[in-house]
Amino acid sequence: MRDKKEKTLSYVSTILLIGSFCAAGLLVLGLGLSFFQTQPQADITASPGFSLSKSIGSLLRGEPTAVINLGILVMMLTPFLRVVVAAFSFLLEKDLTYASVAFGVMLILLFTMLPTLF
Amino acid sequence: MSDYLFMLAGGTLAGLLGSILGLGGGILIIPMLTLVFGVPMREAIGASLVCVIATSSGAASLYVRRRLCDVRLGMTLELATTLGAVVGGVIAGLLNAQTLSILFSVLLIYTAWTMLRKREVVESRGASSSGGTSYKVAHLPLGMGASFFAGNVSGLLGVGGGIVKVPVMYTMMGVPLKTALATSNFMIGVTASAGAFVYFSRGEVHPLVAGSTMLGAFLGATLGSRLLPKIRAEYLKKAFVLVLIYLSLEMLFKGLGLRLAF
Repeated sequence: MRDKKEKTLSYVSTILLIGSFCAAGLLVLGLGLSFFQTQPQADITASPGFSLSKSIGSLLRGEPTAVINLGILVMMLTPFLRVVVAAFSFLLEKDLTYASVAFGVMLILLFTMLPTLF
Repeated sequence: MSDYLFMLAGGTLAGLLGSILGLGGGILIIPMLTLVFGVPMREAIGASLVCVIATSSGAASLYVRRRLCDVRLGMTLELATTLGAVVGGVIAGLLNAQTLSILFSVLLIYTAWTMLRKREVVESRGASSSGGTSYKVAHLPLGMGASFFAGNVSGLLGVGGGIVKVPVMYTMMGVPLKTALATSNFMIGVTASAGAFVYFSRGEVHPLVAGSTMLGAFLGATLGSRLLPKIRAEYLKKAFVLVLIYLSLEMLFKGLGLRLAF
């Protein structure tokens, strides 16, 4: 049981670290690309609501703002991923109380992120 | 483009100071973006929320690895903070920028006051703050209520909300100070993420503004956590209280449509 708990903590810690470094890498790439971009920058107040499904084309074309948005999204998804990992780890530990709590947090986050994914 | 390089530098400074002084970067990032770069208030809050996730993720990973935070308590309180953050984010969409500026100035004054009080509380409660101490969590419903409020403040004003959670966990729920600090930091990422998604879906997270500031805040916080053991932050804290009071006045005047004379 103690081993399982230690593993849960180790998974949660690793997810947070990998997620934040991946996001930082994407930001470096996107900001680097936008540094060499000759087109005028978008007005700060005029950005449309972000949607991942609509941004896939821009990402494939390597547009800097799409890469930066992906970096921001990865950073925002990192805490969500650690909730998912914790929820399933609690389930494996047969700790149903905390598994339900973690699934509850997961549902609230899923509800807030749906508009940005589609 | 040069503005975004300055935002990256400003984000680095905010992340560095935030991690040394034990504050989330948001308390500095919003005044910087609105007062220095003229970013609209809601876009500044959106950028600040993603910076808060960036600064808390690295530290939270370290706290979890060192077994400093109470993951189960954090997860329970997150039920309330995430709900609060979503409600706060929605309310922010209904308020005008002036009202948000005035509310933020109140938050800055409260932060300055807690920074002055923190030393007194720690000294009066002695050294019962060890992370490894066993304890029993008390007043959970009260903690849930305070967490909802902390989440609300986070979603509404773009900060982590630790300024509400840590005192409640420490003074009312019987959680040792180090554990309360680490657990609050662990929760901040999820709370800020819930609020940030609300702003992101409304198009209030501008990629270049948020991206450059967030990268800077991440670098600054990473550097700050390495420097922390080597720095005596006492004098810096006193000077910082004055900076917070000045920023609070600036934000208040901005909200009232006036300009500060100095």
